Amino acid sequence: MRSGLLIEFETPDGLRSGIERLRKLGPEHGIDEMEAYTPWPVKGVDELLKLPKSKVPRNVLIGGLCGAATGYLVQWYCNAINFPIDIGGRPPHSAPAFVLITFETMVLFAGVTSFLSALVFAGLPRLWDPVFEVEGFRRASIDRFWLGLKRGRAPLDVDAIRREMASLGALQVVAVGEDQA
Amino acid sequence: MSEASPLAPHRPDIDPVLESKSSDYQLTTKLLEQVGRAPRGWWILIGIAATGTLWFAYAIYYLITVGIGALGNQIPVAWAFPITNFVWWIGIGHAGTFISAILYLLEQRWRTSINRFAEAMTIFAVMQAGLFPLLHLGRPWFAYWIIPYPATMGVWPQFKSALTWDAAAVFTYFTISVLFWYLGLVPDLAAARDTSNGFRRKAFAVFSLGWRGAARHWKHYKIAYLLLLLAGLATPLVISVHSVVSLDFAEARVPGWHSTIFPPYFVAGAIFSGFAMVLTLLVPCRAIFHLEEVITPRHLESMAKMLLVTGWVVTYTYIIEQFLAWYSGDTFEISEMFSSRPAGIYAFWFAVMIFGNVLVPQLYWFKRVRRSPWALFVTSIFINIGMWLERFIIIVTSLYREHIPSMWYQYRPTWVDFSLLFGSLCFFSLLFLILLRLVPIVPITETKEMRHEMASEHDEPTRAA
Repeated sequence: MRSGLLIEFETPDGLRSGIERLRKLGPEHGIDEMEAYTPWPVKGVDELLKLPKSKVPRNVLIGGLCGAATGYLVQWYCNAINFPIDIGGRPPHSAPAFVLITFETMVLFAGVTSFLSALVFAGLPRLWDPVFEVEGFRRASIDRFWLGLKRGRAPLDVDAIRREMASLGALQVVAVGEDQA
Repeated sequence: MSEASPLAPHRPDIDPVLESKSSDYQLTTKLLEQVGRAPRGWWILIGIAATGTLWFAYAIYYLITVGIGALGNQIPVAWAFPITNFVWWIGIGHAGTFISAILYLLEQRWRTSINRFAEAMTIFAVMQAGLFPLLHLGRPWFAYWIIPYPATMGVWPQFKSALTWDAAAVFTYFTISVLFWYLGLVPDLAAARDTSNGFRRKAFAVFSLGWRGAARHWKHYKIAYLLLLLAGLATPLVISVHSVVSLDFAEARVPGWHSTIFPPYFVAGAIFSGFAMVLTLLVPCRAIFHLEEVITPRHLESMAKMLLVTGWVVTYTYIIEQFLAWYSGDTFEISEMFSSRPAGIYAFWFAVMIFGNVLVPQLYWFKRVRRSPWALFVTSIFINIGMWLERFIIIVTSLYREHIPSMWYQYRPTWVDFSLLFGSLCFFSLLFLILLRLVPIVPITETKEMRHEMASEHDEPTRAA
């Protein structure tokens, strides 16, 4: 989040009601994109923020299929095409014997894809972010629930937001990034 | 008939999976305390482990420079200690994956506090396991020949051999275990970063990859960690790895090996021995680092029950193994199973194996034993020994009395064999002890999440939170 507002809540419920209230305030108060920062995945936040469906499963499927194909083709090329060895008349291209390695490479590729796509989609690694400069934001990984409001085209109506959030029991509303200073 | 409400707040006969009454902040700092703090017990243990590791290094050096003849292996007993150790270590690793993947699928909440512990055990056990086939090659510097690369000689590995399957299975297992473990660690490393200062903060910042706990992070993270790596991939993987290992044996026409029971037999034994090893490590750690509030008697009891169940599966396969040998009518199988194993030169070790794997777990019928940490510790060591002997018996007693008496041979291990076995134990402990100081060993994020879930489900914060 480059710039905008950060709002601190003490409970997951506070965070959820905060998101709902801000949605109601709407674009006329400058509210555009929101983000939540929580110590553990809080139920219902995804839906409230209307996050798009994760594409990790699709990538994993592709990764797994590529892995299986790679495993099988390598074995087939090595043992049946490039260097066939006749051992007691056994067929050089022997599907049952190739199953295990095909399975293992499938799992390997799928697992690595899963790991990498989660990182890439989440935009990690990214060691520094303006939110880290905010006093007290450290507790976002411990026991506090932060709501981020990104500055969109229209300026944020800070006073109205502050008022609304205070009525919901927000602990603080602070500016972040270029809005800080 | 009294009808119990499906939403009954709690069952007084079951211990909580979490006894902590502290706030989230206190819990986080408490669980991070073990990182960077070294109690006296830790220094003593690491001293022993480091000395043993040096000895291990010397034994490896000796083995490589002298050659494979330094071991007691001799045709026909060509496998002996190195492969016994390999199978034993790989098996230990399986409990880690079992706890994190299969128990997750079965929604067993007690796994949360111990899953990182068990996963770390998996990684280090697989590292030890991987060393033994390498050393057993005799010329470990040619190990890369197992990889299909375009060599100038134009030859390729033979993929119809179980050896290549093993290499693929173990490599995949290790890689997936590391990724899985690391991904689970990232939010906790972020918590460690946010509770420390100076150099530690910088180090944790790098390893936590800049994790901010944003909803977008969690969304992809959850699906990658929980649905795919864990449930979708790790579960079949844990079953497949030891099945592949068992095929190294089952593929051969050796009496006592050539059996279709081997894959499930090996998987059951693996989980059995792995749970024993988790207890062996967990009980002292819990005492040294005072983790009683997150690792409660409930965890110990659940693990003892798992040992009882898997112990019975192992016992059942012992019986089936004997039955199949008899039912096959094959002279060599019958002689192997009914004479050279239980009554041969290694009869004493066979008896110790039956004692450790079949009789000792029966103690877990008693609630007092299941709830006593030190009773569990001692019994788990017997099971570890029993399970090591099981692999030894399978390998050595099958090979030392093969089909014709001119092939008969009595196997005797050398000091190098013993040094490698005990050295690997020390190396494993060393890695584990170092890890205890580097990362939070109880998953902080998952523990907090579980606590809040339980609190909102039961609506009774005093018990859950």
